Amino acid sequence: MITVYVIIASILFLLLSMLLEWVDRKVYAHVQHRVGPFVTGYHGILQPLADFLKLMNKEEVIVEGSDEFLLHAMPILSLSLVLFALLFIPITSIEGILSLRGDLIIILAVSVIIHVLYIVTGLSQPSFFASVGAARWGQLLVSFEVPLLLSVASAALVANSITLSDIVSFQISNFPIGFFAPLSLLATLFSSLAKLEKTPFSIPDAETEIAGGWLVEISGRRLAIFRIVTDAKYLLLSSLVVTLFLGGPSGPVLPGLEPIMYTLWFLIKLIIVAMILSYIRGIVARYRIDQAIRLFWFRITPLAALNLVVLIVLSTIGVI
Amino acid sequence: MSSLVDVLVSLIVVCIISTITYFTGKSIKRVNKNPFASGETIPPQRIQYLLPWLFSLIVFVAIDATLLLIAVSAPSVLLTALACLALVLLSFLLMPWGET
Repeated sequence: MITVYVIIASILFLLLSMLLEWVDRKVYAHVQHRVGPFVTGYHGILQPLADFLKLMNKEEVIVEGSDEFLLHAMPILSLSLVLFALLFIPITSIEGILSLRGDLIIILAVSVIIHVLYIVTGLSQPSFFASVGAARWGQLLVSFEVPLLLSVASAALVANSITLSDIVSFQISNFPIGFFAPLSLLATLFSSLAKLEKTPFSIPDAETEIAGGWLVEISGRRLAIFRIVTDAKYLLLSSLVVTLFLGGPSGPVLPGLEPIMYTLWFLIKLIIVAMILSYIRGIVARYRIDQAIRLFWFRITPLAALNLVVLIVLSTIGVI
Repeated sequence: MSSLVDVLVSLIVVCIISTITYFTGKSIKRVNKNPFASGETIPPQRIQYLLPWLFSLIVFVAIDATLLLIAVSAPSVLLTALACLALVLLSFLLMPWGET
C-alpha cells in the first residue's frame, strides 16, 4: 500500500513544484511590471511543464573529459532525495506519508546532501566556470546552514521535539512557533533563498558573471531534472517554513472534512510563503560571494543565535 | 509512526521514479571538444578534488545538525545545548575572514 501512496505522492509533489515555479515566475514578473508566463494554459500555468518537456526532448551536450557516470548519477540522486524528504512533510493530517522519531534531522541531512551533490556536479565538468560555481556553493553552504540549523533548533526547542508531527501538534494546541521565534523565521526565509540559489543569493550560477556556474555545461534531460529538483526544493523549504513556524496544516476545520481542510490550509500558507520568497527575489540585487558570507555570518547567524538564547532562557524559567 | 521497512521501501520507490523520469528523456549526445568560455578557446581542465573530503563534509554537517537539535529539544541536556551554541559561535570567530 505504501508503494502506491509514494508513487501518487511523488507525482503530485512534482506537479505542485511546477505550480510553485509558476507562482514564483508570476510574482517575480509582476514586481518588475512584466506579465510573466501567459501563453501556455490559463495565465501560463502550464509553462513550467512545457519547459520541462522541452528540455527532456533536447539533445545533451557534454564536454570531452567530463565524468559521465557522475553526470548521470547526480540528477537522479538529487531528485530521489528531495522527493524522499517531501514524504515526511505533514500536509493532509498532522503526520506525513512517512513519519519517524527525529524525522526533522532526516530532512535537514537530506537537504545538505543535495547541495554536496551539486558541488560534485560542478567539479565533474572540465570547465572553470563550473569549478568556480561549485566552489561558491561550498562557501555559501557553510554560511547559510548555520543560521538555518539555529532557527530549526529554536522550533525544536519550543516544541520540545525533533519530530514534525509533535511540532505540528504543539502548534495546534498552542500558538504557531513563528510568534515565539520571529527572528528564526526571518533567518529561515533568508537561508531558504540561499539554498534555492534565488536572487540575492544566486551566486553559484550567476549568469552574468560565470555563465551559469555549476550548470554551465549541463543540458537536455540533466538540466530538466536539475530544474525540477530546484522546484521541488522550493516546495520542500516553503513546506518546512510552514510546518515549523506557521502551524503546518492547522487551521479552523469543519468536522468530517479534516483531510481536505488541512490540505487547503497548508496550500494557502505554502503559497503565501512562496510569494514572500519570490517578492524578496524581485526587489533585491545579487550579492557578491563575500557580501553574502558576511551577511549570513555577521547579521543572520547572530539574529538566529539571539532568538535561540532567548528561547533557552524562557524555557529554563518556565515561560514556554 | 512508520516502520523502518516502509521508509526503506519508499526510498527505493522514489529512486525508481527518479531513474525512470531521467531515462524517459532523450539521450542523443553531442561531445564538445572545449568547454564554454565566452568566445575564447580554453582546453578542458578539471580541478582535482578528494571525494572523501566531500563525504566528511556531509558527515560533519549531519552530525552537527543532529547534535544541536537533540540537545535543544531535550531540556535535561541544556548544558549540551549551550556547549553546541558556543561551538557554533567559536567556529564563527575562527573563520578566515581576510580570505573571503
